[in-house]
Amino acid sequence: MSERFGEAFGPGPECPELDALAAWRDKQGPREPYMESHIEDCAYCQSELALLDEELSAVPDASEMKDLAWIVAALKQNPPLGKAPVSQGWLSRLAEYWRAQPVAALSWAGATVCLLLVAGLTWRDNAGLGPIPGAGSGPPVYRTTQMELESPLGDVAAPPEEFRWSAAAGAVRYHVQLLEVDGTVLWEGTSETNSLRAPVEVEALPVPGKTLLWQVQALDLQGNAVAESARGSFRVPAAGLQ
Amino acid sequence: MPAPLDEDLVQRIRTLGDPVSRRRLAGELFEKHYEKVALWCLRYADSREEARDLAQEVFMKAYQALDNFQGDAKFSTWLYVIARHHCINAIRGKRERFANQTVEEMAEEGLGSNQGEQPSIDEQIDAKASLASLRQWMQQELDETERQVMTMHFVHEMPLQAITRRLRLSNSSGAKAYVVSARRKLARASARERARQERSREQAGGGVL
Repeated sequence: MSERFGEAFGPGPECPELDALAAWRDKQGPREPYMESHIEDCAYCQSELALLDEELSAVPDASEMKDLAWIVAALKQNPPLGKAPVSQGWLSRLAEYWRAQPVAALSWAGATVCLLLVAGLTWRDNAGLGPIPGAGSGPPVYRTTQMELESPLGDVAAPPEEFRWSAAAGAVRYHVQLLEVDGTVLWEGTSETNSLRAPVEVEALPVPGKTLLWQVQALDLQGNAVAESARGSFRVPAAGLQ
Repeated sequence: MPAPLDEDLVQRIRTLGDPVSRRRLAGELFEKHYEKVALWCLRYADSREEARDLAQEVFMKAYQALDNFQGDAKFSTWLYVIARHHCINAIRGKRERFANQTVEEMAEEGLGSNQGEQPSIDEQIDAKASLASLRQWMQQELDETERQVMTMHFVHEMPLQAITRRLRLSNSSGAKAYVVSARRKLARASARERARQERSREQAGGGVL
């Protein structure tokens, strides 16, 4: 009987997918008469819409507040997309601000140049010109944007035997981390090329259906990070391990 | 300056070629929805740790699918659809536990195969009842909560315990009570239909004689 209930309560051939139902719900202006009449007669779509309305307007009750705060704090601690590289953040922000607000950005740029000119002239009058100590020294800084993870990514048929990523300029070795989605490090390894063979213990790590993350950091001769990839995710579906 | 709309932010993210900027801006967009997604996941998960993992995965899926966002629905609705599919699939992943639980629950409820003299509730629902009749009875006989519970249990294959938590049902036996009452209502509707058919047959037979 359970199968028949599933069939009877489940979507019929004319029922829209949940995303189409959601789009219909959000639609501004006139709606398709076909959808209107279908939903009016369809218990499944009505049930899905009721759940959609309820979940979208959900507010936490007192008993959920503590757990909710804990989860939000955990997400902030380990953002799902990883933390943006600090060295590059302000440059990216500036470029983006320039694209979004060109007039305001131009005004700020003009004001900044004027300030710098005044400050520079004042300093030269007071201290004279000379070389800046330490200029040109220190490790070279490379852009981090060219380093991409290649595999494993997404759903994979079997536990990964190898991790591959694109090479980064100036890197002499790479540090690879395999993590839980909460950021817990499960395994770390290093490689001098842009791939690393996974040891047997790593091949045994994936739990069916569980997402794991991995990330690569490129290091120079002195061990300074010259590039860092975004966190990639992969999952071995239950069928892949059987 | 008013904060940009989520949908505008998605458009801007899609124009960014630099993966670092793209990821950073998407991260900012997602952060606005941490609480909402966390709440959705919390109501589907068994624990806050599981909810945290689900929320992480939802945002990663959303990031991977960002180029598919058409703007037909609001961004928050689109994100919800991803969260809903992901959470239900995760619960389905615990299929083995669910299967055992269902058998136990069915036995406990007396809804499974008939062990004694009395027919079980399911057996009272005419096995020959058409899907169209079942759908009609569901529409006419069940209330909204019963329909939701039946859909989540029999279509989305969610365990009753998870449905109780998800729908925040406060009665003592939670979703189980709604399944029982829904099945009883369907059995009554089935019995009425059988009686109606028998009367029709008798009337037709009497007419011939």
